[in-house]
Amino acid sequence: MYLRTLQTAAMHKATLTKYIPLKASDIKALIPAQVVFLLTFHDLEAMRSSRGYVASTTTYFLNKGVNSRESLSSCMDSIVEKVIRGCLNELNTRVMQHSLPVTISSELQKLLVASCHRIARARDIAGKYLNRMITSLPSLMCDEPLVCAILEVLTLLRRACEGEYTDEVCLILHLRWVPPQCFQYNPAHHFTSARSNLTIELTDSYATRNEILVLLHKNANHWLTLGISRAPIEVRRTLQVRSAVYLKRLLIPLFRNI
Amino acid sequence: MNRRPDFYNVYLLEILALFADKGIAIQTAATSNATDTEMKNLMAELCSLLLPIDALLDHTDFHPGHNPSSLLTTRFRNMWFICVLFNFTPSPQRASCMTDWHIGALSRIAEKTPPIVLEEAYDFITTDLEFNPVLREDYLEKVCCIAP
Repeated sequence: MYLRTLQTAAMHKATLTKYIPLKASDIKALIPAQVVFLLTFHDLEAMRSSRGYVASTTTYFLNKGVNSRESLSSCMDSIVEKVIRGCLNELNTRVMQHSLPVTISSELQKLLVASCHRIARARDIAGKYLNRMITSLPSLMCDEPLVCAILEVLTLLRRACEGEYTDEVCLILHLRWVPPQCFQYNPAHHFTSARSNLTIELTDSYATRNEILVLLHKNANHWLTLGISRAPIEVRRTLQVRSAVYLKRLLIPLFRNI
Repeated sequence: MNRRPDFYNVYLLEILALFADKGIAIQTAATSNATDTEMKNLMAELCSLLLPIDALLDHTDFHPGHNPSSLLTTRFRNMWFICVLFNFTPSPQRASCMTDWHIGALSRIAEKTPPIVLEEAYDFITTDLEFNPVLREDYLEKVCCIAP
């Protein structure tokens, strides 16, 4: 057997080209350090997602420097696509064996929160990942905390969009005394749900908030339809439990007061 | 160590720094005509550092991913860069020193690794990638032999 000689950097470039062959022309323009970074991104996220830790993929897209490089950014998109495909293959096998990782529910909730992020690229990647996961594995909608989190995020988004027409009050810790009127007309960016124990961080733009709400509302309808057709009793039970909580905590005290 | 959880973070930082130093030393040795046996020994020593990192991260009361400092993020990032550079991660030419134990340890380390890119990092591409001291240019340009 003969051995082929190759520069270490060229060998890493060849490996990366093997992973994402469609981006071969972009890879040629990358410097060795960027190739090592992309391989790290691929290997680390592939390992994490195969063990049920899917939410960390979006964190790479929060940095302005990473998002501003065209060739790097397009390669990262292709790597995310490959990681999602690998993760779905792995999870599909594990669904058959009824051995889905226990972390998957909390990780999907993190993806749901990231799909409302103020940074557009992180938001898009998280939304795409979540949509692919749930449409490929509709049985994930049998998970009560995930369904509740989706409904809670929809409620929070609606409240955030209504902020356009109300005097938003954002409670900020001030170190010195400020007149009460200063608290008014401050846009609120953080919205918290104590029931699902999550906080979403939104952009200033009400147009973008509305876009996020419309997209999530459309996706949530689709996911619930898929979930109901797959496991009608489980999903209906989850929705009924949530409706009962809503009725008990909000409506009954309201009628009592009337 | 189990009785001193307040030292988890310090120990992790030191062991990650040792990993990076060892990685740089291997790159220096490779470019200064070290023999194959010497290189194999150095690589085996680097691989064996994965086991104490895994053992430390295995503590159920230790979560380095929750609010990590920028120093910890940098050290984890450097550790992963070195792992990729020497083919410790799953790749077509995986390093021969990576036994099943090491592969399992690396997967468990991946689970507890905090995000390696920080949102607030200014000029990440230039500062943290192009001028990163753990990626030596002379090593990356070195010619190596691989199976066809």
